[in-house]
Amino acid sequence: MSLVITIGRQNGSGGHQVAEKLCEKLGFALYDNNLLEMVAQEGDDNPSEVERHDEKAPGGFWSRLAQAKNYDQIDPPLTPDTVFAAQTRLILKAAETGKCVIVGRAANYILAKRRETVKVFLTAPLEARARRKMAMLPEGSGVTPEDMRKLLVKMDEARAKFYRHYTGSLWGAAEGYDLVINTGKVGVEGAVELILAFIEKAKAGSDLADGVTRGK
Amino acid sequence: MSLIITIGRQNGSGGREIGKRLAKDLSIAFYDNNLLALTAQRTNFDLQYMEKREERAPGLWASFALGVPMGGISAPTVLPDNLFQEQAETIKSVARQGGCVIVGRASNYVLRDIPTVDVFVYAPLKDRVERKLALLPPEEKCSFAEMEKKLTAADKARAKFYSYYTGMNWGPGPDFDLNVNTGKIGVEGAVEVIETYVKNLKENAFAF
Repeated sequence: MSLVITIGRQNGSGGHQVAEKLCEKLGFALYDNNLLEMVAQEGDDNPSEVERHDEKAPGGFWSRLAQAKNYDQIDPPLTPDTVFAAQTRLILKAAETGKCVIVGRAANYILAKRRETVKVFLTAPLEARARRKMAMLPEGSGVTPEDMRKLLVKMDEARAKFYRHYTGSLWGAAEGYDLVINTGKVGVEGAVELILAFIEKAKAGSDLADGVTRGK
Repeated sequence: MSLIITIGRQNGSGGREIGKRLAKDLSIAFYDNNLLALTAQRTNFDLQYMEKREERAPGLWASFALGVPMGGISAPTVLPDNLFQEQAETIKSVARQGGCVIVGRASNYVLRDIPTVDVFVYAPLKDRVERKLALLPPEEKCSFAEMEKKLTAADKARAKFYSYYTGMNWGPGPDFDLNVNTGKIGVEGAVEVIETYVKNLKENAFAF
């Protein structure tokens, strides 16, 4: 078995970038939004339709009722449930080989029992996250910082709901993670350094040493 | 600007030990239980009473007794609320004196108006019980289950204290700059990780 890093993240805290840099440094495979394409390919579905249900909790009573008529179809339309199930399969398969970084998708929960897994969660103050996201927008987008803050709060709410629905635990509650980093003060680079330091130390404690796995 | 690190910790996760080593490595002052003696010096509070009451929310009786001198305690009467306020004053004054590591006492909240690095250390209960048992002197030996009970109760009291005085939930989370699970990396590993964090602090890290 070899190392897997999972990265949960508040929107705009730099999760994708941190994951990218970690993969570069460690020569690992990255699983983030490419999971969507993989899901789409697997089920021969429309990628944008997969995206619509990605990291979402299923809707309430009425939308479930509306879906109920699809249950006996051979190829039922996508729902948050089917997308999450497909992603879970893909994540478990990726974890078999290891040497990868998985962003979001409750991967820390899916791999909770797996040894040699380092689970990270990234946060940052709303202000910093909004600023970061604004800087990534194309010029003349007309989005105000206020809009961005509201959008981030809304996206976080949806993500928390998703996590809560499928894991039964609170999103971002540190008990489910090894390391929770506020990237506001150390940035993407700092977070990468920190995670590498953590892995190094965990290896020294033989918990992650290649081939030597010790139960915890 | 001087570096001030506050460390919140679950009982048995190694917070005190981590704080001590950090302070030594970074050559800054270390405050933990010694805050009590400093507070006692400044206020004439009874040290023994303080030791029993600190990091606790006031109980039901104490809140009734507000303002009524309690028997057997040397004057001036120490009530948990005064104790917290005075302890907070002590924390603020040591923070003004320069770089330091402060363990517990809701110091992240007490110092919320000045730039600090707030760390929380935690670990799975099983690891914490094992750590505590290994540290026990032989004459105080107890079973795994007993220690588990003790730690859970101690955490509960601390959570109550924290939320009573800060209005926030106690425990690891986004209120801290860094939360480290010491289960996998131990005390030494945590020290290393926190030092890496400090090294990577951005120039304008405290602009928020």
